Amino acid sequence: MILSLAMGTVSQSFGILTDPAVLVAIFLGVVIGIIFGAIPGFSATMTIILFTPVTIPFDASVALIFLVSAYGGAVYAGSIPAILINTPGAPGSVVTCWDGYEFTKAGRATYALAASAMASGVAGIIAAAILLLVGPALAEFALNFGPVELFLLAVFALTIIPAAKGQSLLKGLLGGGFGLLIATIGSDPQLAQPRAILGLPLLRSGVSFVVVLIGLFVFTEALFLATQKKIIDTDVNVTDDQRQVSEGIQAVIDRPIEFIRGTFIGAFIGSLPGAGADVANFISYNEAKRWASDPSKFGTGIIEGIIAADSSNNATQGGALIPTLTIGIPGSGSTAALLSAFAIHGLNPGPGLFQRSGVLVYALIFSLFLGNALILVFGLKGARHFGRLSRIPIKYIVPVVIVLAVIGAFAVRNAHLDVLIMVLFGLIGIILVATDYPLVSVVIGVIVGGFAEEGFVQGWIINQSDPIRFLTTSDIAIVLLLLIAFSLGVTLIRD
Amino acid sequence: MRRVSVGSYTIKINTVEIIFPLLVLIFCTIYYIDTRGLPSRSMLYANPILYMTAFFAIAVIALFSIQIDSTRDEYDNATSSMAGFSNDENNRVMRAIWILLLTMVYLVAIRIQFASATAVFLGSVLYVLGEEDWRILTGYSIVLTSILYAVFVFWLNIPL
Repeated sequence: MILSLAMGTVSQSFGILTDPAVLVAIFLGVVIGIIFGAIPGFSATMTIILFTPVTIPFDASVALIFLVSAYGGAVYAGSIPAILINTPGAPGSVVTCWDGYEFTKAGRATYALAASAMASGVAGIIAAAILLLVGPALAEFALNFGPVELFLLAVFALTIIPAAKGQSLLKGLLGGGFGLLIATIGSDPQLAQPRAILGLPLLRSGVSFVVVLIGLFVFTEALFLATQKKIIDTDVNVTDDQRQVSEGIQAVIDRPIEFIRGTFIGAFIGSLPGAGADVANFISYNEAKRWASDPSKFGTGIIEGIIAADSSNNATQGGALIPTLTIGIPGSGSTAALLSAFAIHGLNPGPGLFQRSGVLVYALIFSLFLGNALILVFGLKGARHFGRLSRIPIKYIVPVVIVLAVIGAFAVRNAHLDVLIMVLFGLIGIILVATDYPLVSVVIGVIVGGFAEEGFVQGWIINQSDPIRFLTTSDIAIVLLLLIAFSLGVTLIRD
Repeated sequence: MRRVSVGSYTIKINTVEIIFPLLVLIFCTIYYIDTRGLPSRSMLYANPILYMTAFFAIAVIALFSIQIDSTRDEYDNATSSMAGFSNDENNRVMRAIWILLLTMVYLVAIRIQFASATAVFLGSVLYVLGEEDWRILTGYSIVLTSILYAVFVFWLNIPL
């Protein structure tokens, strides 16, 4: 019975994928993702946030599949400027520069680009398979989560970010606490009393996390881009050498251990709340270096460096979608942006999503296979053309990004106050980045704040205000407590 | 880094590190004043979060922003990050400040008329970022404003 239901859901999902509008959405999503990802400073998160308002008139399946495809394309394309001009397109491609640019200097950019496309595309497909295997099982398990477990899950998400990001525990907790506090602004869920609305009626419905997200990830980034030096000072000549493309493909096939290790590191790190491609990239590269016969060659232009970096990079996409879809906690800044798109299109990620909207969720997962196959094709055939986008001067990008951020914030509730809040968070973002706080802690604090409060209040009442009963309400709660203690302990020891 | 001498002690305050925790403390104070009259059930969850956040802010200030030395040092090399800026870096920071000011003006102007405010804003920011060719400035502003207006106002019906 359950199996036939599941098969029915899967076949309906395939039905969605055969819709020409969805196929166009995947194609356009990947192309737009690659175009924007190839522009230095334009991250996958920014791409998703800025294109979310444009998807509003479309059906949820078309809109979300478009955004997920753009996400994959943008993550991959960050490596193109990293290889061609030694400037990462996104934080997740920093490591790709180290070996990638050496190939460009040696006249073998096409070889490096082909290996990067091969590693990214295939790793993305493997990570999608991992999501397909793990996601439904975890979603089923998440149905056992009661209010206390959801509250503890929110706490765990906040405590693991500093551990995963390698940043200060105290700063991470301060950012997370600030985010949770921002989420309490508005009418309280019990008595509907206005909390900290400062006389502004709009704030009765709270501070939208989409607005916070736009401020922290788009406006902050735009101001940082404005302070950048001119990036492009060399004109790279990339040849259309098919022999180098074949060698690039073969290089990945010949190094299965580096590739598989990078893919699994990417999928695992991606699945941790707050840790995205930027963290996975470094860990995968370091592991490849640690196990190499001659570690000193890393950074001098060896293909193992690119394979380790780029396989982990795109594998984070499937990994990050696991907690996002199953428990409603984003695995990265990009999936936090996707979460806002889900909310705008009336879906509520978290426990029960696979049951409520299984057809769409499976279609979304299957679209990852198609999207990553397209990344492979575009990467192998056209990376050098997309590379030209790396030469677009930043001065032409910054003004329009700011206007899009303003429109995006306004469009959430058609309110000018949201635009002001967005700018305010943009300024806070600058301070946070300058003083090495994990931005994602604040965002996740705002995102999980709603269900953390609901879980805490319900659990507290159910357990008759007894903290011991509250914390030991179930085996899952105890395991979550241990995980919180473990992540705090690991970060404290490291600090 | 600012220094305050108290007797034989020197208190060093990291003026950049202290900004965020200080802002959080100010926010916590406003939050407390605004919500102190609410029933305890309304604050059952919010109060522990408020006190915990304030505690973290104080701890960050104590650990990262303030340093107390028992010896009076006349001078050390840890100068403020702003003071260490080169001319080029100063120019780039000034660019960001100009853009921020223009954004503030733009936020007021779009309440009056979105299209013209956007066109002027796009041109102004591009000028601040170093574009001086008036044909590019005009073309860029008009073309992008038209696209944005067509997409967001005509197509998506956002009441900008």
